[in-house]
Amino acid sequence: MTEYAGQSFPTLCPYLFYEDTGAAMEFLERAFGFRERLVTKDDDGTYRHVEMERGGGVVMMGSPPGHKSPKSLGQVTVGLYLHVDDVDKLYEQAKAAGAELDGEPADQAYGVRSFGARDPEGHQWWFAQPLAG
Amino acid sequence: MTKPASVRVTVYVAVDPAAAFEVFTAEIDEWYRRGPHNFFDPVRAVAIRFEPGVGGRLLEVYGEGKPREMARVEVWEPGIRLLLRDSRDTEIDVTFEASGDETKVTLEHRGLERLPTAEAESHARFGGRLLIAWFSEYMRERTSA
Repeated sequence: MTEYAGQSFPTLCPYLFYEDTGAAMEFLERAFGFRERLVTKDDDGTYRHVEMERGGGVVMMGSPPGHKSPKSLGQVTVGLYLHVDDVDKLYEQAKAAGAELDGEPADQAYGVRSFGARDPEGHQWWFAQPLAG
Repeated sequence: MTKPASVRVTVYVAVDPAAAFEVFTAEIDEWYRRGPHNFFDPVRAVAIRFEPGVGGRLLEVYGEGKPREMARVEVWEPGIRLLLRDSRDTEIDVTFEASGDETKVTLEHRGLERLPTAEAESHARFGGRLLIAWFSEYMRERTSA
């Protein structure tokens, strides 16, 4: 962790590019259980910088010029893998929120129960809970 | 060239909204950090305090002489909301909302576009974040004591 400007940051913080940062924030909260922790807006109403957190994870997000999300790129280039406490409950939450799901939660040979989902701009997410034992 | 207009910082504290509001206001002098950048007149300042209620002031208090008004209270709803406006017409809007066993405290500083760019940038990067960090750290120490 790194302490800066009064907040703690995990060593690695993914920065996600969105065309519609406001809609993405609302979706990440409703579907994936993220919580907003910082929002800076510019005088033209655009989002300058956003940070959301879930467990010990932090994602930064925004719409910097010259960057595209999978929505307009037509290609996913990175996936976000999160560890959660109750993967089945989160699956139901994501489903109820209308997330595009890769399938139902399934036990994986590598020791987790997980599912994959896409956010409205096509970023790939995986949520995993360690299997008992 | 755009510049920052607002910064919104959110934390969750382990008390109910009424207690969070009380600590934020009545105990501000306990959690507000001393430092060369944190007072208008850091050499003379000895305390910071609220005058409760709409029309009340946020005051920087000196050992001698009149205190300095830092902002004026426009909304004072214990356990719900506190809205301050300063002499340069920026607003600090603090809301308190129950969230499970915790209280979601959100501080939004608006009107930064009315400040010189460097100052607006500084507020966007540090101001609200530090205030909320000091408050939440004090809350953690207070509730774990």
